Amino acid sequence: MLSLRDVHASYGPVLALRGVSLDVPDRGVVSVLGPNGAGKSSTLRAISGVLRSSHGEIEFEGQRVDRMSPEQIVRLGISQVPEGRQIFGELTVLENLRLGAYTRRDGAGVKRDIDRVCTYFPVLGERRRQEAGLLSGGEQQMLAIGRALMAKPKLLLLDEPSLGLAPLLVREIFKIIKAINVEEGLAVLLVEQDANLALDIAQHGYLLEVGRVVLDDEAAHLRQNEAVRRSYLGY
Amino acid sequence: MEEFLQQVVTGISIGSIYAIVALAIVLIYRSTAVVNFAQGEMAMFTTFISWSFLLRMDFWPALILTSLVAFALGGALEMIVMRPVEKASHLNSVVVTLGLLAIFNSVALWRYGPLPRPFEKPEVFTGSPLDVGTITISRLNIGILAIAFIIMVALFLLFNYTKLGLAMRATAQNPTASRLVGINTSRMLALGWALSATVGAIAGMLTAANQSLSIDMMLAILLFAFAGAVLGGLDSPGGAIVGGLAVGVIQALAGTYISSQVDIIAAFFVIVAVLMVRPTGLFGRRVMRRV
Amino acid sequence: MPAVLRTRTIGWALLVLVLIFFPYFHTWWGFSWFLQHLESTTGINLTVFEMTSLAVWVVILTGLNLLTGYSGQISLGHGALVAVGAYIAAILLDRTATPVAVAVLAGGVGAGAVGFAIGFPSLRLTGPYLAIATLALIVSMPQLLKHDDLIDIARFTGGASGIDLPTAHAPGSVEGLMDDRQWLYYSTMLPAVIMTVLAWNITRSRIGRAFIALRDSEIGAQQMGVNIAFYKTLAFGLSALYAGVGGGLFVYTQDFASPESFSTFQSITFLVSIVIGGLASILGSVLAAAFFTFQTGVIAQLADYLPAVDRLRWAIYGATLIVVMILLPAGAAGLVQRLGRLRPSELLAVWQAGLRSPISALRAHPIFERLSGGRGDDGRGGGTGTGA
Repeated sequence: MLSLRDVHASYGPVLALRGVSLDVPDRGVVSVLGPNGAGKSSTLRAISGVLRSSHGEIEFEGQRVDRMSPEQIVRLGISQVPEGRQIFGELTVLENLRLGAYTRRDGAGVKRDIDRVCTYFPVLGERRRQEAGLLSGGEQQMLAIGRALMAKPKLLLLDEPSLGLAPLLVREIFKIIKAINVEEGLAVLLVEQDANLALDIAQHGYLLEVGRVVLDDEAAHLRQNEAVRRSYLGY
Repeated sequence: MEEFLQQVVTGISIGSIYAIVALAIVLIYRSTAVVNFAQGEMAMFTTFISWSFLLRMDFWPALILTSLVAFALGGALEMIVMRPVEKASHLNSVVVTLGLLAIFNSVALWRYGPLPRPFEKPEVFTGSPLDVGTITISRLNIGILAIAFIIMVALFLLFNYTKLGLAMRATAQNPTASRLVGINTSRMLALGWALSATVGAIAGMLTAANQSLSIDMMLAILLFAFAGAVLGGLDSPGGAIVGGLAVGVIQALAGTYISSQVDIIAAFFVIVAVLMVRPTGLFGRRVMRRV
Repeated sequence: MPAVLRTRTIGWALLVLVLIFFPYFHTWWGFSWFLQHLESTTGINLTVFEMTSLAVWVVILTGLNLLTGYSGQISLGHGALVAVGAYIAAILLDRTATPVAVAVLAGGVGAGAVGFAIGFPSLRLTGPYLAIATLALIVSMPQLLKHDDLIDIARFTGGASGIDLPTAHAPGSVEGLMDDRQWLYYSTMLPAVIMTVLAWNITRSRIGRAFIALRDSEIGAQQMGVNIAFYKTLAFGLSALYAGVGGGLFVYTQDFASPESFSTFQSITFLVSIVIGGLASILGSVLAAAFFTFQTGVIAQLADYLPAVDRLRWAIYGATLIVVMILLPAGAAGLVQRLGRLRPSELLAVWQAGLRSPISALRAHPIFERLSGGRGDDGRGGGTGTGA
């Protein structure tokens, strides 16, 4: 569904991606692991179009997307839950969700999807008229995911969803992500520092270091991998 | 007592122009976190353009046409001049608006000369002033108040009840997240400037109708508008209106009861007082930051 | 010694020599021919008096640069602080027997105090508040100075006509060595140089680093433990002090002070000057002062060829301001510094590249990116991105 081929990207003079190649199959869950500064977030930014790649190709459902604007990419069906949640703090939960559906024109469909998101995350339904900035960290994360879902994506990009959240909550959220993947057939590309969680729900994983893919394997194999175990799984 | 009420009413009349200009300032500040110091001069410039329209048509068509011109001008300015510096620091953006201030002032002076010219009032607002009890208010001033109110309502509806307005608010708060949901943030910024320029243009024409059209007509008004915007809260459109009217009232009352020589100083004191006591203004929510 | 160091130190050494001997050698035959020619072509009237004025503006603009260039705060009404210093000095010189140096210093202190008083409430906040407050101050300055209703300020300030002072004379001790003009030059240039060197030291000290941290990211600076409110107020107070001293020197050299001497447009020209000269740079402040001093002459000269230039003077300044901000944010000083680091052979390459660079800079303009269907480049990654 999505494939990156030798993608290079930089922030001014700083090279962030030095030839990243990866694939996300239809309906699959793929995880990108790696330490801080490895280029994980940059990869997602490049896919979403907010970071311009200087070299390489990004293809989505057969189309080249690396030169498209972020708008167009959302319309094509890629939606991102950014790092740090990045919700619209002064707007209500409902307004946040509506903004997720910004590129859509089907008013009735949007309404239905708001309800669906509230089924996955009931707390959002309860607090729909509250200012998003008043929500707790976990609730904001749910809102960010819900907002991304509102765009009716075919591929969901998640950037460090576990950051700053209590473990129990994180597990809950990951269960829901997996459920969404199974029920809706939504492909997921997950960037996570918490390798344990990530490899739990992913089928395939990539290990990124200093802007390059150093390991590319099925999740199960990665779990057994000596280096991965020691550095990222903690045992 | 009657004198007091009369002054309050006069103050509100003066303040309604400040309110409209303050609204334009707040519009840009809310959407781009930049204060457009060129606001007044842009308004003055578009008013001079409207003057040439008025040679061929009535006030209201001229107003509409000028608004369209201002809309285009504002959008173009954002795209051409502000866009390259928006990504850089705040300081750069403000300096650029000062450059625009200088350019508009100078080009207007060059093109139209320093002499004031008479400006046609709209028909509806001519005629003898109205008397409510012992208080007098000119028809034009009522008209300006009404227009200020209409603009405020229109903007309120736009921002709170339309998808576009929501997108503009989102862009102002979090440009990154906005792009990720597919909002063309560049277009929103341009739109913010375009709207602001339009509001300014309307204010300019009303000012000229109220006094006369001259190069320096907006300088003092801009200052009072700033005072009003700060008083009401730089990120609150409603606050801009209330603040603008309040500054007008303060000016009228200070002029009458304290000294006729202190009106400009009064604006200065208002600003400093607000900053000391309640920096976010009466209705402002927070001091905006561009991170 | 590395080539870099040599070019720069030679440059400054030359400058110092020129400054010291200028009042004398400018009348030597060769130089006076050169200066006359300079004036008739470019309109730059390089007399001893103009250089004396330059010294005054250097002080004022260095202070402003400390505030705006190094600390990132915008003061739109700096002229008001100059006015405070000028009037304090003028009143002291006019009505008392205060020595000039003390009067000028008093002006500086007075302006510093006013700066602190205004700066404090505005600077607690992030945002355009200082800019707005200072704009309000300069616009209301004339009214304030002419006021005679509630408090008879005009009695002290001379109202609309201002204060006239007798021309400064060279003291008896230097008679024969120099005339009045030359004395004025040295007695003004010395404090200007001292204050400039002082500013240079400040920018290199911990204070200077705090200023820069402040300008680049207030939040970041705060997290590093920098007391933002203190340093912001310090920056403003310092710049006010400089403005006040400059104002005192202004009065000393010009022999008068009036409300018209300190207009809103003058304050804006201050800002234009330091942007063009170079923000966050002592050299930039000096270049800014040169710009400020000679702009009238140059414009008048240009107006001889193109009459419209006179009326469009401000449009030219405004356009220059915008162009500099977009293409060359470090101003002329930035350019000079970059060139000063190069060897002569590299200079040629830069010149050629420079001819091409406005075009490439233009091509990099966002509007061309859009036209070619490109995507936006959120190079900084927004939000909290650490490039993970």
